[in-house]
Amino acid sequence: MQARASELLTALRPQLATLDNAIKEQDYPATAAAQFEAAENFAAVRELMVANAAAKAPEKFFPVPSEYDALPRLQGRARVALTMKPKAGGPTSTLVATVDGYHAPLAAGAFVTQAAAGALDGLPIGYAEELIVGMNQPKNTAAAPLPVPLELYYRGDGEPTYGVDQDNDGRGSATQVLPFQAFGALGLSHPDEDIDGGVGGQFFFVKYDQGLMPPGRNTLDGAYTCFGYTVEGSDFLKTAKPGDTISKATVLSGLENVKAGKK
Amino acid sequence: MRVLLLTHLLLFGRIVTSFNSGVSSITPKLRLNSRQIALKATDGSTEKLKKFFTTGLVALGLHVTPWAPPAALANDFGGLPPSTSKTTVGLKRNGVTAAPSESGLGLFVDKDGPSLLRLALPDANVAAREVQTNLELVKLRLDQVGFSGKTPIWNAAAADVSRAKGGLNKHFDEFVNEVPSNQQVRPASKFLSLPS
Repeated sequence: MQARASELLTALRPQLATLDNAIKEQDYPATAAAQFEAAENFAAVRELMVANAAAKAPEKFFPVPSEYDALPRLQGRARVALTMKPKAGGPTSTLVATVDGYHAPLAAGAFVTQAAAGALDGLPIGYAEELIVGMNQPKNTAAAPLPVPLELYYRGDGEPTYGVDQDNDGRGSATQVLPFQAFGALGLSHPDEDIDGGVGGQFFFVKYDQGLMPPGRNTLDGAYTCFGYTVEGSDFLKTAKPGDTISKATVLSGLENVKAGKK
Repeated sequence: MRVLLLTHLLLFGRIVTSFNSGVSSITPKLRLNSRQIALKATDGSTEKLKKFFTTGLVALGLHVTPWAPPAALANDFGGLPPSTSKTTVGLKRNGVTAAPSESGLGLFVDKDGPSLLRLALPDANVAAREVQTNLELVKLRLDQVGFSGKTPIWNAAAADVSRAKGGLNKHFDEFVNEVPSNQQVRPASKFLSLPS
């Protein structure tokens, strides 16, 4: 692993030189491309660091209360590809989402577990509004049958907060580590009257528009669990309609980070 | 050469301690407290005199440095250097996972999911987070509301890259050593037992 880290960091040097040149030439597209490449490269090294530390002391990285021991959890990150099939026909699109078990281990764990078990295959979009694209509830919830609680990770905290929303917690001015402020952010649905009644696999996408949603403190932040972001193919959401379905959900990586709940 | 020194010269060393990421260092600084100094050089040797005094001051500064170790100064601040209170690493309830609190930079609105994920990585290495922060700032500056390709913004982005390069060069070995030589293998039985 050290060799891999060294290789990545060595490759970063010419990438930074390329980025520097693009900036000097004031070339926005080249700068954006070089910045993405360098930032992803360096983040890959940090992921190696974190994975090592988390493997050594998972109880410190994933401090989930014992009352939720029965729920599956994601101890790390995972990438899931969702192949979307339009109801009206036409070509399929693929969304790739990265879900974050470091900050939402239960919500992300339920999502990945459902995806791996095939419970998301054939799942239709229930509603598609100006800002939200929501999926229907999976019919087969055998893989993650228990309700998933509201799971909030505030900036500055060392562990998630469970079962109480931001307003009732008296933390109205706090912000989340994973905010609903990116196009394609993934949130876990729950009934209006029961914030702890989220069903793993029933989730929604946020079509973030800064003009309509204040960053960091909109009505979704602190009321719903954000557990990841769409990292590829989010354009599909712009045209998504009710009835479009997930034809296939595939866990691309991180399945080994899922820890099954205790029975 | 005839020099008339009218008053005495008071010199004393002042130690300024700077703490950065838990690593302390001492930077000697000298304060010249001369109430009245008048130098009269009748033969145009003022520059030589200045050089003489400057050399003396530097020598005195080097001499002063050892008598104030960082530990003694740290105790004056109650045991912890005050600058560390501005960082979250190591001071939160869970020192290991305190770092994710710095997700997002708080300077610009980060609307990019991959960027938010990169910033949310819960590593506790301050130097690594600084390099990542500088890399993210490049794009955030260029995406900020009202950006119209103005040169000062490009210059700020160039400074970010320069800082990222500096951090990488300085901590290259540290970053590599923080990754294990062999990836720890977790017991397979502990993970993923999905119902059939």
